[in-house]
Order: sequence, then structure tokens, then C-alpha cells
Amino acid sequence: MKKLISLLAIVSLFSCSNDDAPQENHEFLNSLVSKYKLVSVDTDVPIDLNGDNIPQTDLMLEADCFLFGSFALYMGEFVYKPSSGYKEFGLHVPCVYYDLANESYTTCLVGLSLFCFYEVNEETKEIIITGRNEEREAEFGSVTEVYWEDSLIHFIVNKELYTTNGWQEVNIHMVYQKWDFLNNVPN
Amino acid sequence: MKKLFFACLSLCLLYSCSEADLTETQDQTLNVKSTPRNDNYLLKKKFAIALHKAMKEHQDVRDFLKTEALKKFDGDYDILYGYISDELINGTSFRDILSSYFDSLAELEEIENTIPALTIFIPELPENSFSATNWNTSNDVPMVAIRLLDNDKTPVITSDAGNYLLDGNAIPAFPVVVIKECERVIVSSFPFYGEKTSKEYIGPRNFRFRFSDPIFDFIGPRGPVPPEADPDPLVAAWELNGKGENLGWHRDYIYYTINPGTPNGYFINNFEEHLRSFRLEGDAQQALELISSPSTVNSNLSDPSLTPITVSGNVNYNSFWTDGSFEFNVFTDYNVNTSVLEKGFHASPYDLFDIVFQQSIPILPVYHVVSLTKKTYHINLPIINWKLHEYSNTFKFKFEEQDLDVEVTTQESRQSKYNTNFSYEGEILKIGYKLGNSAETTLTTTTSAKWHEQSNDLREVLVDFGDNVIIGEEVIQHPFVINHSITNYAIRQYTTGKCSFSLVPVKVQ
Repeated sequence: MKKLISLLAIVSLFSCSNDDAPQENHEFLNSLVSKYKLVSVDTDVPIDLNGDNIPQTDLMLEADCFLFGSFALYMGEFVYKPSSGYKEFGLHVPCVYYDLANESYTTCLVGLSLFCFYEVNEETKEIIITGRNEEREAEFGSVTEVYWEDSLIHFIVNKELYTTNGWQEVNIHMVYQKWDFLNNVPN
Repeated sequence: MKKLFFACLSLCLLYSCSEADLTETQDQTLNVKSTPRNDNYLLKKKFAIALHKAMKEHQDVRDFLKTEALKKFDGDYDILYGYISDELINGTSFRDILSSYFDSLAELEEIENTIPALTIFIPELPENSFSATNWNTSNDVPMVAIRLLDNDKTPVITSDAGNYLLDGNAIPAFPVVVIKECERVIVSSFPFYGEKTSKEYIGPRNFRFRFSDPIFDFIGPRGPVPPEADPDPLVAAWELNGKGENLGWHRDYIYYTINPGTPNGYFINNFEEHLRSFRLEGDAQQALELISSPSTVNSNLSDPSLTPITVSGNVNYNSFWTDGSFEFNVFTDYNVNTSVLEKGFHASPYDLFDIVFQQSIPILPVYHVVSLTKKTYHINLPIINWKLHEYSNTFKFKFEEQDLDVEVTTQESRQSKYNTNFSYEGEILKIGYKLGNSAETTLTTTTSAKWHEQSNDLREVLVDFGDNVIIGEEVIQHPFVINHSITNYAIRQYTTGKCSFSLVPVKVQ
């Protein structure tokens, strides 16, 4: 009888289902999926957009002319479709408004989208760009870096901006925060 | 003591396995990771079981559903439950018939209150295998699928023949109806319902709804069909402005009769910008995945009663057969003093893609996609006339594919540039082509950005008033008729990177 119960106990140890098998970890990836709100936008070199001859790097202080929304309406998004593995991020970047009538560029900014396909490294929390829209990047700038730090998404965008001193190549550091736009609160 | 110890140990070990192993009924072990607002799987499953029983036992219920679906009240084979629930079927309401298959009326009421936009949809399955049109209600008792927004798989429910879980790349090759939430209507409990200005429809028990866009309203009288573009004004604008020489703006001629030979002109209110074509961009499979795959990450559906059905194939398009046509919105930002203009249109997967299917029978007969090619969808969607004296020089067009009808709006102050070369002398006279003799002015006021929850963003692009409409021409000699040629004109295409479209001023009066 003792032997029977011991045998039963041993059998029971191995009776668990395949549910105990380890599942693929998508914790970091799932945490990225959200819409985002722009919180800061800075250039690596000071530029003058507003014509006051005081170049600065903080574009939220420097830019004073916008079409179709200021930086407050800039949005980002991380998309993940689990069924297909589709992963893409998008963000609004400041783009130069071309005045067709006067056939000239202006220092006014328009927020237009850049988007890239990506993968993540769950262990290092690295975000790797795996695909781009080269045609769009040729016109609106190129995302050279994207990383997650302090619960914020950071993008580095290399592009040219039209300033009061003409065209200048800049690296724009854009920081986005996860945001629930329906309730207008952090996500 | 030893006997007691080993007895306890073995008992503990017996119960150390996961809950799934101890399933007795499906409801007790269901592990659905989803938000009630977007999924409500358990409630939809209850409704699906009751619906299947009703269809199985009453041919007149099947007849009723077919008749209702063929009305296409929203342009698709949808039946909005809350609106038709009191319709009589041989003297008994559809609701009363259904309620007899629930444990209590309270169960059905919970579903009605929690899922107000509950809809029964009759899909068009590949190769004409099943549809509302060819449904043989005498013989075919469809299974009931449940469209889930947060899952790539589709549960298929019956009351007596087992339940199944279709993989994302499997389309039924058997009769099936779909339980879903209609994207083309908003009901009174939805946010911003009161701000909608479209007509309100009222059903039983004060069920109220509006169409998310008037183009989906097939209950009320339909507006006039938008006319086809008259090429003459467009061709005239192209030729008067020197064709490729770009001497002036095409829209200056179309809206103000202004051209290099006639510098001033009065506003002509005869034209309206129309969306003439629409096409998804990028890789075809990725394009379909973007608009058809669920947007959220809660993709775990654990219902042990469901038998999985998987097929080979790497094109995942789970929602398009459960959803019918895709609903798209185009948001036009055109004026600082008004909110963004929203217009909707729909396109079936077959409008946007050439699709080749293959059938297999893993457990039940199903199709899967073996070939997918994008194509251009020709539409004629009126947008707005371009009153340059009131509107911005530049419009922004933003597109989305909509899955839920919960609208989100953000607001900020912004600026747009306007032409100032107008005088108002009874009629509106534009002085000078392009900017004429005056400069632009910049105005600041509040504007908004709009989209829908869980929509798929198809991005945005700018269109300038001064953009050419026709950008080229090609003269083709008739192959059989001497001295007879045809001129084809190339219309300018705009691309957001995710979709492309053409925008053409069309004469509407």
C-alpha cells in the first residue's frame, strides 16, 4: 500500500500538461504598443526659426509658426500585430513648409509622419529598425536611432530644416510619452 | 503518520497542474484576456449559441435573417440587432424567439446593454461558396462565428456540432454568419454621440443610433450620385497653363476662370474636389496585415471547447471575411476656423486586392490565400470645394482604416496661410493669379486632430491649391482608324506612404 501511494505520487509529479512549457516573452514589446504624445524636441545645434537672431536648441521655445497643429498635436505610435508579427512605429516630425505660391521655403513647420518597421530585443530592451520608407525619408528626414529610456521613447531624426540662415542639417532629438488620448492622460 | 503524509503528498501533487487540466465546463475555465468594451467574448458566445439554436430550429428565422441582410441597411450585409429585434417572425418577435434559448431574459438584456452595436453579418465567402444572396435557407444552417477585435483567430460556435477556432489565415468554406459590432453606426451610449449631426434612428426600447457617415445610410433617401469628372475644364486648365510649362495654377482656372491671359476672375461655385482613386501602398501582404489584423496585444483566447483549425499559408487576414468591407476615413484639414472635415468610404478586400484562394479540409473545409496583388480602387467621393478666399492654400489629407466607431479628438491652436488677393464686390473676385498682387496672411485659431480608437493610421500628405491636376498626357494613335487618336491624361497622385490617391475638381452643377 505504501509503495502504491509512493508510485502514485511520483506519477502525479509528471502528470502536468504542456502548459508548463515556457512561453515566448513579449513583455517589452507589449509595453511599447501604444500611442504617444510629444514631450520635447531639441536639435543638436542651435537654430533660429523665429527670426529673433537668438538660435536655440529647444524647438518648443524656438518655433513659432506651424501649419495644421503645433508640437502639441504631434503623435507617435508603436504598432504590433501578433498574428502576423507586423511591427511598425510612426512619429510626427517637423517638416519645412514649402510656399508654392512664392516658390520659396519658409521657417514654418508642418508635422508629417515618418514610419519604420522594427524588432525588439526583449533582454536588452533594444529597438532595431528593420525597414524604412526611403522615399519618404528622402523628403522628411531619417530616423537614425530609437530607444526606450526612463519610460519614454526617444527618436533621433536626421534632416534639414530651413532657418533664417538658410538650410541647416540637424539631428532632432524627439521624446515621446505613452498617452491615452481618449482620456487625455498618460497611458 | 507516514501513510497520512504520503496520501496528502499525492493529493497535493494531483492538483498541482494548471487549471486547464481540470476543466469540467468551458465557462469555468475560460481565460479571455481582453477588455470588455472591445471583446465581450463570453457574452457574444452566449448570443452565438442562442442564435444557432434559433436558426437550427426555425427556418423562418433563417429566412428573416437573409431578408434583413439583403436590405444592406448600412451598405453591407449587416443586421443591427437592436434596431430589428422586435420585428415579427410569424407573429413572434425575433427577440422573443432568441430569449427562449437563454437561461433567463436577464442574460439577453445584459448582452443588449453591454454590446449595443451587436450585429449579425452574413459574409461573402470565396468562390461564391456562401453569401446572403445564395444562402439556401431551406437546407443551410450556418455556424456562428465571433469577430474579435483583439484576436487574430476566430471562434466558430454551434449549439450541437462542436466549436472551432479558425486560424487567422483560414476562411470558412461552409455556411457561417458572424457576430460583430457594427463599425458603420454609433449608438447613443458611445462618446461624442450627441455631437454627430447625421439623422438619428430609433428602434425598440429606445434603441438609438446614427450612421458614422452619411454614405452608410441606406435607410433614408440617398443623395444624388456624384457625377463623373467632366474632363473638359481639367484639360482646358492644363492647356491654358502651357501644359508642362506650369504658367499658372489649374485650380485658378477651374474655380476662378483665371489663366495667364485672364488675370482676374470671379469665384465659380460649380466644382467640388473629389477623391477619385485610392490604393494601398507598400508590400501587398503587409498592407493587408496592417488593415485587417487586430491592433491590440491581447491575443490570448483560451476556450477549451474550441477545436483549433489551422492551415498552411503565411498571409494573415483574419478579419476581412468577418468584417465585410473595410471602412476608411479621410480627414481634410482645410480651414483654421472649422473642425477637420471627415468623410468615410468603404472598400471590400476585392476592391483593393486581386486575391487567389485555395481550399483544404483540415477538419472543416476552409480557404486560404495563395496570392495577393494590390490594385487601384476607383471611387468618386466628394470632399469639398476649394474656396481659396475662405480656406487655406494648403489642405492636409489624413487617412485611416476604422475598426471601432469611438472618435478621439485633440485640439490646439494653429496657423494657416491664406491668400489675401480677394475683393468682395457683391461677387468674390480673385485679383491676380497665384498670389496676385497681395501677400499671404497667417491666422491663428484653434483646430483639432481626429481619429478613431483602434483605427489603423494610413498617414497624411499635403495638397496645395497650386498643384497641377493633370500632370501629363499621352497621345495614342487608333490602331485601325486613320488620323484618329486618343489622348490619355495623367492625373496627379498623392501618397502618404501607406496609401495613395488622386484629388480632382469635378463639376457638380
